[in-house]
Amino acid sequence: MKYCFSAQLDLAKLQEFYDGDPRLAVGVFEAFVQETVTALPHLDQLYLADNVAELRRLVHKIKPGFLYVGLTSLYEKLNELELVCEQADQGAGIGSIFGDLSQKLKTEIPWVENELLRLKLNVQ
Amino acid sequence: MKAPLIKGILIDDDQVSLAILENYCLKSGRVTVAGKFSDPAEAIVYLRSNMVDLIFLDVEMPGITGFELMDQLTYSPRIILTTSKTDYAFTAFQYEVAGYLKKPVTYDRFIRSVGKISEDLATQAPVAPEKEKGSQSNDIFIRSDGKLIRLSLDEILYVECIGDYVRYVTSDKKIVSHATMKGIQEKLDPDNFLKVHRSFIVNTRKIKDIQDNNLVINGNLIPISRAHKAEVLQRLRIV
Repeated sequence: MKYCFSAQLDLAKLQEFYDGDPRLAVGVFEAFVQETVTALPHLDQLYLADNVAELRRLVHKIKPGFLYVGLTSLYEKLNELELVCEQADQGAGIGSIFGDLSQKLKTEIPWVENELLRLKLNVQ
Repeated sequence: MKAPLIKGILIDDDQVSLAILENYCLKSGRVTVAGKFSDPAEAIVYLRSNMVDLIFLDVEMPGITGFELMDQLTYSPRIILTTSKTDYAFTAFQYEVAGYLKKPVTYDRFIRSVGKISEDLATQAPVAPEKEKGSQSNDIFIRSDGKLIRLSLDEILYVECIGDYVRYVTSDKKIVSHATMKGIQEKLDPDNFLKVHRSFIVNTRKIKDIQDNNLVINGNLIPISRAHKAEVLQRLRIV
């Protein structure tokens, strides 16, 4: 039987990547929680240090992962942040995007962590 | 004919992207993952002593780009670039990559790219183009600095590819032109010109010596890559 992801996540995207197979998804969700979620505090540090170049690089590196776990609106927010960081006169733009991003991360990351637990139960 | 199993490696500084590609490779049953590398430097070390058919390669990585990594390869595996940006498409074209997968990579697009490579590997027996003796001039015209410069093939010592440019070296001049290695190779007489490295085609009649893994042409050392070495030795009729 095909696995049903939680409705909070982008189900259409998850269908494209995993076709309802939890065995395919579990390793990706695990990598996201272990690597990407662990790297998130570093985003805050780079923002606070005003290190725009490294902030852009880290955002560029981690953003595809958000699509692979069904957090499409966070991916779009990260994309927006990357574009603002690339512009020479980024100054004001980064702050407001970063504020929205931080809020959304707090809300949505637990969705992925919970989904990983569900996936692990399904593949056992 | 059954498609050959492709030996591939994955290079991406993002573990999530590596995980999804590895899943797709396993699901496809067409690609065996010989290695996955989040550190491109480790991948370069691996590739110095291991041959693979295919590399899934990210472009933006710390310390080195995917294109710079390709420049360091001593043979020519198929490359599928995986990147979030479309900005690199032109450079990718110049590097003659086998595929370009924009992230996020879906399984459908993955399997189409791999399918093309499977077909390519299954039919890769080289076919020498039939030469129309006497119908071709022995000269070519090279577009450089807004001019078309006539150059006799006999004059060329070797051709070197540098990024998006090609340099024709003769005994008394160097002409730089915007071109690809593949395009140039098609214009040169295959009886006399031989690709000896990802970046070099030599005029075999101008080779003076072979020293270790280098050809000596007019005092210049031209490297022979491992991938081309057997063909070079065969063509040079070593006794």
